[in-house]
Amino acid sequence: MFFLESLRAALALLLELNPELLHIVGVSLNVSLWSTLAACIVGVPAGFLIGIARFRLKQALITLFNTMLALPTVVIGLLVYSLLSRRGMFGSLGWLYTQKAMIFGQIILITPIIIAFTIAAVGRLDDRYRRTALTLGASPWQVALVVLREARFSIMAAIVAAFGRVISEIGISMMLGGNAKGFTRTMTTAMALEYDKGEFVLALGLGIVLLAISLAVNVLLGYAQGRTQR
Amino acid sequence: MSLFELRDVRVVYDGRVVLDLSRLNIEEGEAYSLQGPNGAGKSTLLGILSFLNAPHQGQIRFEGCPVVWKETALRALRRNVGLVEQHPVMFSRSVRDNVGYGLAIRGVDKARRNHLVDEALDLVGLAHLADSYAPRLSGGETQRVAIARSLASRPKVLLLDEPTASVDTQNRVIIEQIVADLRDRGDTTIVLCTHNRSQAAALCPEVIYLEDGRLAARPLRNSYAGQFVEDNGQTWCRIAAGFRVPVPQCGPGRGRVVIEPGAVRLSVASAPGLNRGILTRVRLEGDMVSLSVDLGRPLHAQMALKEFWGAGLEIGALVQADIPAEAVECFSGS
Repeated sequence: MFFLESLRAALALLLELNPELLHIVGVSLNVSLWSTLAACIVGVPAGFLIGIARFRLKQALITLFNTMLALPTVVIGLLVYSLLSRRGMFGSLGWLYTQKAMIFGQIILITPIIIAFTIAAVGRLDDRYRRTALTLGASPWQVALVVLREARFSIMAAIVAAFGRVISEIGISMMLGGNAKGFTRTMTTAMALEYDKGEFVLALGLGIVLLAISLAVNVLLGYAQGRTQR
Repeated sequence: MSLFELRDVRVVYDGRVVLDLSRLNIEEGEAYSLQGPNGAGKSTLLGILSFLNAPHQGQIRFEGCPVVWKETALRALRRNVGLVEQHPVMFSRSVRDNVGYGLAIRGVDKARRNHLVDEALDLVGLAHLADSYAPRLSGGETQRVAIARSLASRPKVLLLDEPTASVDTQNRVIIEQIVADLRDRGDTTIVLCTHNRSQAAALCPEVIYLEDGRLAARPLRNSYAGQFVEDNGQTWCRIAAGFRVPVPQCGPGRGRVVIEPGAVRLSVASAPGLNRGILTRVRLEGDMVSLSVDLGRPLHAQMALKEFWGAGLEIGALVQADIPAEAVECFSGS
């Protein structure tokens, strides 16, 4: 009964477009989108190059990135905190407890995800694409474009997984953002706070929004895949 | 001038020699069939001729120039060669974009590209599919579009790896016609890898026969000495008791006959009789089946796998061999 009441109240908050809730969602999206974008710029080319190149330490490198998938957010939080705190190496930037610090920590969290999944996407791709492009006279650069194009949906799935990871993480946001209302309060840190206060309504409302965003992103990806395969 | 000259070419995998060619020339404008049992090195040879895989040893000349296996040099060489794999893969784009890919990366402008793509698609009879999504095509259509894709950029040599092994009869006939037209035009050298001897004989005057990675003389099967006799107003060659074949072109006396294995029809027989014997051997060669029948002398036949499944033939069973006159070549005198 309690759950249903909370759910009803949460939906009411959503429908009336509660300004506090909207702001929290905005901060979450802002931080997650920037960190995902930055991680893509680094991770997709890196994963792609490691995936198509042949070199001696490739397997070791892949193992390293796969291990980094298990990196706990609090470890990253601690690490970045030590860099950004006043006595830290980058303390003078004054980034601690800002969205920049959160984005920085989240980039460290998901870049290995994007790299590892991009390596897998490229490695899994049928070698006939590469051979066909080569026999048709493609340069290494043109072959790479073909491989990238044919692996694009697997790479997009990697990006979506990374986005899902950052929008739902709490450790980095809490430790580096500090859950400051109106500035660094995200959906997950707000949920934790409301839970502590015993206010389940806003917590549940935020939970629903979080899942709805995930759903929307995945529906979009599915739609894009369906369109080209029709 | 020879298009390809291979000298002392060797490929070794895990200590096993998979290709060992002391000398092989491929002449410009000729059509070659590349034959041999599975694992004979046919695909390895195609990989070398398409400049995808370097041999471990040996020298190759293309149009008289020694091939240097360096990536920058190879790109220019690869543009002379079209390779159609047994199971070609289509880029996830339209048929037009697939066929035009080779032209696009050569910087051919769009108007000319469209013209050449239409021409290539016309050649394989699929102009109406130009705007279809290529990965959705059937197996036979994929094979034909792959041929068009290779031909669009006008290669000097077209390498085909068992192009009809996994397509239906209708597409097989069309593909054979495409190859025949190409051969008759004479401006493209053709190397056709196939297990189908009748197809090879019909399409390609030249034969490269590989066995254990080496060039081998194509085993001359079904060559028999016999007695030419008249019976019922027809001339026959008597090869053994109960084994005779029609030879309308040859006179009486002694002579030799050669029977084309692909033209022999085998069916289940109930009682012994003329050209009937025990099926002694069945061997799968790609999508073809090689069979031997004991007619006093061994008779070799070859048929498509699907045909074999339908015929109900089993080893040790009594079978009837129908040998049409067209399948027999006769040579008078012994």
